[in-house]
Amino acid sequence: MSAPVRVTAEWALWGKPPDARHDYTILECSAGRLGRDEFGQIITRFAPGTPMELPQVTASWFGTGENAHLGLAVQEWSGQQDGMGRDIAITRYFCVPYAQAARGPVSYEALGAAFDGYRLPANGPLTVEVPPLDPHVIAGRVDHAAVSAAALLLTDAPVCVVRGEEVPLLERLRFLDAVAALLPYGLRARLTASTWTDSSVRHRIKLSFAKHAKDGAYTVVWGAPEITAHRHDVVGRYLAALGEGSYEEIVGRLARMTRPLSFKQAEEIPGLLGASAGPTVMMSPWGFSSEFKVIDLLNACADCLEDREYEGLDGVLDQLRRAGTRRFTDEEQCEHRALIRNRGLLAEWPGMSPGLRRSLYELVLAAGCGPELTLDGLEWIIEGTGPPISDLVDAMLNIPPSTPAVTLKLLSYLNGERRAGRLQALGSADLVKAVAGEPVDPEIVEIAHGELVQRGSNGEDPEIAGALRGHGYLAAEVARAYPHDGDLRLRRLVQLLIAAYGPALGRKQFEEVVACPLGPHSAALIVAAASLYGPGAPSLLFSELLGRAGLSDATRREAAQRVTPPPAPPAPRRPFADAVRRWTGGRESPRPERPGHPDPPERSRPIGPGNPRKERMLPLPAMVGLSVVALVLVVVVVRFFLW
Amino acid sequence: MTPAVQPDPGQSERSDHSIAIWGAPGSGKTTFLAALNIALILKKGPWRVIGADGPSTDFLIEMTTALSQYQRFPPATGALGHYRWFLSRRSEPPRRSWRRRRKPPRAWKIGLDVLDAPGGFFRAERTGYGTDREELIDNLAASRGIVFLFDPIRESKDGDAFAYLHGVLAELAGRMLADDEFGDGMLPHYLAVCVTKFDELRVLETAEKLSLLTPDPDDPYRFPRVDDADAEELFEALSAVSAGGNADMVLPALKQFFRPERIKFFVTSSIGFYLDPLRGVFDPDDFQNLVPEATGTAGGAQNPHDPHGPRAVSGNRFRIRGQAHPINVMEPMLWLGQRLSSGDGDAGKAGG
Repeated sequence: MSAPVRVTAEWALWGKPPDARHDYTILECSAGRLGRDEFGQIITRFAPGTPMELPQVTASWFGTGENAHLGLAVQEWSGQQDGMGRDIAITRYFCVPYAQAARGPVSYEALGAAFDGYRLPANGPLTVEVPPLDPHVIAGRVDHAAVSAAALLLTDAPVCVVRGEEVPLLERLRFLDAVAALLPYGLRARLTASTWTDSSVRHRIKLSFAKHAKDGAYTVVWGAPEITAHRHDVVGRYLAALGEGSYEEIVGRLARMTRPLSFKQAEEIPGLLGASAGPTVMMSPWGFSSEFKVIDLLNACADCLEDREYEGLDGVLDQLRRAGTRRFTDEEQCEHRALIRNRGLLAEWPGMSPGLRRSLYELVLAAGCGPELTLDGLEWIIEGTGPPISDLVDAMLNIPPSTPAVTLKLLSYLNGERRAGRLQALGSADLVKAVAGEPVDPEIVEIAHGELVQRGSNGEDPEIAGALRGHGYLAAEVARAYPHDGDLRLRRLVQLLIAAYGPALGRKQFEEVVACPLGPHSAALIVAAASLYGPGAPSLLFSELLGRAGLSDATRREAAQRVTPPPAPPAPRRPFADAVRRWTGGRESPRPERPGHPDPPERSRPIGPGNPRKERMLPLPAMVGLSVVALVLVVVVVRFFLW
Repeated sequence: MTPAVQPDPGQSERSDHSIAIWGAPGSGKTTFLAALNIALILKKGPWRVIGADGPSTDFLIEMTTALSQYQRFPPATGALGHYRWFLSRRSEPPRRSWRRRRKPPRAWKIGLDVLDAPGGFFRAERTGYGTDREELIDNLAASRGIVFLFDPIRESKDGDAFAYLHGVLAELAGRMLADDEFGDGMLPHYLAVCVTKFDELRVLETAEKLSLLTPDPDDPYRFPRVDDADAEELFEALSAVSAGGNADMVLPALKQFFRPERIKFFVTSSIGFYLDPLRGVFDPDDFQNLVPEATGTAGGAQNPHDPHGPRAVSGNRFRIRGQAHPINVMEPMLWLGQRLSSGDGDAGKAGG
């Protein structure tokens, strides 16, 4: 037998003074790291219910990582009554660092016995020596009920031992120890066990004696003549593993497995036991394996969240932070993501402080997505959470995005001023880049378009034109975003061109737009540009196309002649027009010059030889006809190119 | 190997007839529930309370035993308790008629999910150990009937009834009324406001001074009663003597959030008045059932099976002097149960 281990316990006395009219509270506590509020939270959290028969003992835990502790609460009648005439129960609570207890390791019975001689209040924390658990002695107490209970606990459901009301307290405590000894010692960092629970209250005790099993709990009958079978895979595997060897050898092996474990990791446990020659997990000086996996910490986070143990969560997050952010392997990331999704780590968690929630989100996101947030990562998050709450959006915005599209997609979950503020921080080039490329997200297109149009209307951003030109004026993206509404597509492109160049295009700008590589969606862009250029657009466009067609001079001339309409017959004389001619000395009244057209005379330059400048002023019906022909030609040429 | 008894998650589903008990620490919430079975037994009427699952049946048995056999109050509630009961009304044999045989009346069964929280859970400040506060609000939001216990004795000493009301009420309203689910902006619960400890001298005297005491001709013991119609008046009078001076805010606060037509007042006592076994009727000169016990051992009856056993005592102790005769304990539960069963408040008066 090994030497006793020295453990130092903080303690608290829970009860109420005689004649008190208020609820139970902390009467005294050790002046250690834990204060009254912390002790109160722990004791109420693991309360087994309203006492009827005392004394009773409840083993529990709190904290994770370096702060992990084992707790033992001994509840007895005080022999006093409160102000309402009700008997007062006093609870003596002791907690020791898990790492110290695991060094033995020590049993619940031994811990209880070590503190039994101390009356509370005492002066400061108590240091006692506790003998380590003896596998031989414990194995002698293992029976069918204990084996059944141990295996059933791996389902993560509570287990209630019934028909044990008459069993003395010490025997019940030893049974709890026997069950716990049939599991890896590390599970005690999450195990709660009590010699009695009240099944009508929603307690958090995993293993207990009770008159009836509580809802959702497995029942094990005290002194059962057979092992309770169960179809649950992990139970069957564990029962099989427990059957391979003597209980003394198994208990000894399990006692050495002191790395803290969660019941959520139950699937691994039969394997731990089955690997008889497996390595013993050694304790580092602070009590844990130095190979602390992010997955373990995520599991610990989930445990804390499920139990609403937010103080413990803070500690786990610290460790997660220390683990650092790195790029995980695909396998690791898959594993993290599965756990994050299955255990709802990115849920809303009401009641948590906003600061803690943001830290939780940031660290969990780092584990699930790595050091940068991609669209794929974002989609995975939204698939799991639905529309994210603003704290989650903030946390995601704090991760460097892989592309501006990620930022814009995130901004789609913000409203009003918050979205506007974040958008202002993005350059116009980023806004265009966010829309460009695959996949096209109509929501992103709308946001970026609205912002670009607003910036353009203020005339504030010369960057827009260049950015749009570099991405084909987003014609392809607009076409994909609004596949069923041609008018809307045209409107959006016109607005973008206005944002880039102002309300009308000059020749040079028009040529810039139509000089873009032609694609399936160029028609709408060309029509948009033409509508902003004005009546000379078709001929200019045809001229541009002729220039790009790579034709010989003769062919070009011939092509130009073919689209030139024959001279129109003289128009009927109009008295009013004649009067105008007279007044203006035989000249037509000049058209007012459009702003933004630096060279209005040029735009009506003849497109072929033999058309003297004076004859280019065609009557209106001829101009319209020519425009229609030119547009048809454009479409034909575009389709030809695409073929 | 024997097959494992499967956990049954379905059992935890709550019925629509969930009733929560609301009151300050020591206002007698658990004792009120403990007295329900005794009240129904003593009434000798058709109503019975039956546990719907093992733990709820255990509670009925243990509490009835503590109050009737050991004449002791239940210990202070340590955690949020959840009991599933049925209020069951026996079908009576059909009366014979010369015209035709009448059909036997239908048996009634009202399901009750009762939530019993430690009084401290209702404290206004969310400080201390309130990790279960969210659960409490969840449960209150899911319930549709509330028994609100107003302890006039505690109020005269501590004056904190309002403190144990307004915080939770504000949170409950915030949870349930924020999204306009209930069109009129009022909480949907039926509310039985119970003025407790009617057996206390000061409460009885106040009722007498206000001329609110009425005899009940059906009561063989001639216990004094306050009619439900007058209970609100007694409530207001007792609120006026609050030590904190703000008990008069309790009623307006309740009426601000609950529909007035869904509030009913009752004057209750879980242990009732002392009844001299020899006289067999109420004695105005000797009626106190809760008496101080200076020294001695715990409990009224010294029973070897008393789970607490004989214990050394210290401080002021009380004991229940005789058999508990609960007053107006079953009535609020039946009223709530019937209102919740009918769904629209059309159910008739509590039978029995």
